[in-house]
Amino acid sequence: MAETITNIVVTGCLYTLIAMGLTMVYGMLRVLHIVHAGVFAVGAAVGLVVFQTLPVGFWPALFAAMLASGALGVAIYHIGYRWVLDAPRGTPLLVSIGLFITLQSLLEKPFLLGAYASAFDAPVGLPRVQLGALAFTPAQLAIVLSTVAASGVVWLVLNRTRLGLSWRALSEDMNMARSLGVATQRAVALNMFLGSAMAGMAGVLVAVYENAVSAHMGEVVAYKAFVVVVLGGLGSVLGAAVAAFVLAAFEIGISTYLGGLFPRDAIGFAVLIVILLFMPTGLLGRRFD
Amino acid sequence: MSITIERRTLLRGLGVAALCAVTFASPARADDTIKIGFFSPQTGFAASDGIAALHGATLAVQFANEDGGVMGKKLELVSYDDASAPDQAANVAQKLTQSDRVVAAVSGSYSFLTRPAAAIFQRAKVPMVAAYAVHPQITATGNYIFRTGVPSAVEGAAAAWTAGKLMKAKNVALITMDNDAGAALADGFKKVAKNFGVNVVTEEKYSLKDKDLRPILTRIKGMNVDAIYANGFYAQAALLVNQIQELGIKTPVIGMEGFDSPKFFELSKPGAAEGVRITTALDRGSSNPLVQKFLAEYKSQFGQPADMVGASSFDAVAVLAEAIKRAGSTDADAIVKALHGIKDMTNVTTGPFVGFTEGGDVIKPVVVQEVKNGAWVSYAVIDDPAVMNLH
Amino acid sequence: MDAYLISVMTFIGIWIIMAMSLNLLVGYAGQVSIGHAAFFGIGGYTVAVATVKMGLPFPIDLVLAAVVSGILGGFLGLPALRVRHDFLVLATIGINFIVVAVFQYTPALGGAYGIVGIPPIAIAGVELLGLGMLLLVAAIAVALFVLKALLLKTWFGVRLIAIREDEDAAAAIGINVASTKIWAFVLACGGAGIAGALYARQLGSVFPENFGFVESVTVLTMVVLGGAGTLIGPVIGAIILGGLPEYLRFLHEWRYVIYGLLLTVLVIFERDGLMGPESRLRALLTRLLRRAAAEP
Repeated sequence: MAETITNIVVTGCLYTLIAMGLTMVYGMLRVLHIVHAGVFAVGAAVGLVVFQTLPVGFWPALFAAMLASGALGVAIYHIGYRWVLDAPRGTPLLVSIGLFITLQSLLEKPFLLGAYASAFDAPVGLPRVQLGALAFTPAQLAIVLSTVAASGVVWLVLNRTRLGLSWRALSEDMNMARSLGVATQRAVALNMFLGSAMAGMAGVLVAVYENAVSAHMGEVVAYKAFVVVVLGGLGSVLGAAVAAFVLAAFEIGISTYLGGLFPRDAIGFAVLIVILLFMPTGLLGRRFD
Repeated sequence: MSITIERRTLLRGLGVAALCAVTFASPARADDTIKIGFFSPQTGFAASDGIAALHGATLAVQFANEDGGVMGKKLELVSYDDASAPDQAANVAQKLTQSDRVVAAVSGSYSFLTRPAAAIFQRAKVPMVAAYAVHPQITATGNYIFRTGVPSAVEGAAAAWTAGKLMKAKNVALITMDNDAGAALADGFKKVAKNFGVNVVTEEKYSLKDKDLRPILTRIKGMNVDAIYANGFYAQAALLVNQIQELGIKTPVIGMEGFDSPKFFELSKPGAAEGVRITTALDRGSSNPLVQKFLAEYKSQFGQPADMVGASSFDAVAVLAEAIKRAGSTDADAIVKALHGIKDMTNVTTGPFVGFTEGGDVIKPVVVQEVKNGAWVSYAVIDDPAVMNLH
Repeated sequence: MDAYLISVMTFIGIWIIMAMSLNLLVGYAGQVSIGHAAFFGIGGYTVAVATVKMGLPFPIDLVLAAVVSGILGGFLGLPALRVRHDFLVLATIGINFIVVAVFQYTPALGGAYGIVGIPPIAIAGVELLGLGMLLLVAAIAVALFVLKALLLKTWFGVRLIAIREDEDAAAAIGINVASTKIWAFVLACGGAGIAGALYARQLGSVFPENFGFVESVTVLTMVVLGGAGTLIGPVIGAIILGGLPEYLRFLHEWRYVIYGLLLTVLVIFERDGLMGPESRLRALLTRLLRRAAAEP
């Protein structure tokens, strides 16, 4: 039981990290940003390379990965999304798909990650922690702490800065906000940067937790992140966090107590569909039309 | 004005036609080589296995040619990437049989790709050998289809033997991949478990997409089990032992040939893999000089140690080369006859090949390896007919 | 004729049917689905069970596949009444995963082993392989194209487009949105079922892995790249994307890098699809056709 709770906490944190970044990008651009999973994988790759080639520890490598991922996110906006923001919905999705396929195929090449997974055995410099019956390994503790920190930063930016205010305005109505003088390009770029940096952070943490970095490690994130985002209500950061834990609890709870009845992903989707039938705009979502 | 547009259109049309010609043209037929077809997933999520298989096949061709070739000619490997897409596997099978006109072919792919291709090879009457695809029905496609990978019934039974007879484990928990390979091995285990004194306490399925085996392990931790029989590929194997270590589970683990990769060690946390035993067919400590030559050559040419997929693929090509040699002809029926005539082939890395069943599955002993001090050592060889002759 | 070419074209024909059917849902009814491969799979599995386990002949298995997929698709339409836009997209992905899980975990459907040994189509005792199968697939594709064109000219077609443009406005003028949507799902999924039936016959086996998320993404990509909401769009999309992996074989391991880049670039340049209403390709083809018609 204790292990299950620990697992739910840790998994919920990972889902939160990935989904928060995605929901920020979605909220502003309304794009089904599938390549977020590609940024996730690139983040892990950069973290690994930095850790292995430079004489730095885990946390600097994580930070470097976040910077690289953020930059990649901004690049993706400029190369891809910028041209198709007012195109029919399918077009930006296809741009994202095309970029995702390209990224994964590139990462597979021998001069990057190669076809095999690589180990990422980095000491995170944290102790094992025991909170009552719950035990957390150093890697698990790193995940929880990082998520709390990242969530804190996002909350601060969204609610206590002008940047956050401009993000919320742009999410509400981009044209109106622009005509009212919001510095659109800069705000969008920063939004992409922060959202993508969180994907990169999640990538490195998952890589260290599972001790594996691979070109296709984003394949599950590609849809799982959206399950969380949609469950929480598209564009809602708090919703993403709540949904992350709800989903983790259901997936792990059902898998642990009912055994291998059904694959975990199918369970997660079933939960999503059932909840959507009762709450068609997600747990906390606003209506988008 | 209209003339210019027509010329441009004509040029564009010619360009497209040229592109098609380049793409779809059959390569020039060189009659001084014997062509062996090959396909595997060389891009995509399964690329690690597909490329390893390609490496193994390439080495087999190289060794055969260094040895004087076959029937006085050199072997040539004609390889295609199926990108893990069944339609591509089918297209490639057509290409190999009709355009490239290969004498025989090897599949370095999983079952859901091998089976559609096998149907095409069978219809075209071109012998095809599956290197490691495990689905029981593949060789049932027809008389031209063979398999050199250990049949699942045998490998699963070998694991049951190891658990019951060698480790004296009474209660065993199964952790099974939810694809056909996992199902086949688990079925092989369950079928004979009772014969070897083993009781299957539970079977837990997991998806290859799922990196978190903790829910399953937590369930098993609460049960009374003497051993865990798990199947998976190298990535899953590493996740499994890492998470077992993390959860403080002490139950011994029996794995399968998918674990048999240097990557398993690389991705396992220190000490996590220690004591794991696997059923496989590659004995790295073998005194067979071919095995050592294969391991050394693979490492030096491809920069990393060989795995079971590479070895299986090597053997598939090697057995075809041998059959063509014995038949003294490239006629398909002669090759098939020669394959069935193979009774004791030791010139393979995962052998010896004792023979082939009527259906085309190889008969060979299963080797059990154990992890000691971070490396594979021999634990047992299982050639008891009660296991080896199952299919 | 080259057997490899025939094989490639047969699969392209199957993707064309898939893309045309999805287009009805995405391009005309405005319901974006990234789960269409589930119905492709239901069609394939229906044929597998019908032929291997029940020994039924062609065309009964094909009709069965269309009917079963269509009816189950109608059920998918029900959540679509409650859930909209990107929420619906995720629900369709979920349906795909659940259907594949059912294939994989149901022993009667072969479970992880899938169903193998599906025989080729036989008409009057003659087996359809190679060219014969290609001609049948082409004939069915053409027939469905014509049927779809005719359907869109009916009142049903008008209702679909009205819903796509503005669901609430459509309801306000008296269109039965619910019933129209459900019928769109029935027809689209039935079409996917037909494609799946042909696919199962062509491959000779069905495995759960054949019908997943990646396949759904691919067919949606064909529709959007070609031009959603146009008749010829999905056909062009299927021909290009369905054939691209084969056309690009000369790039060896760079195939998919170029595939991804090409897709991104093409869709940025023609945001309404290659055969969208204002696209360059459509303009070029119209010009050529007009000139051909003008010259006697």
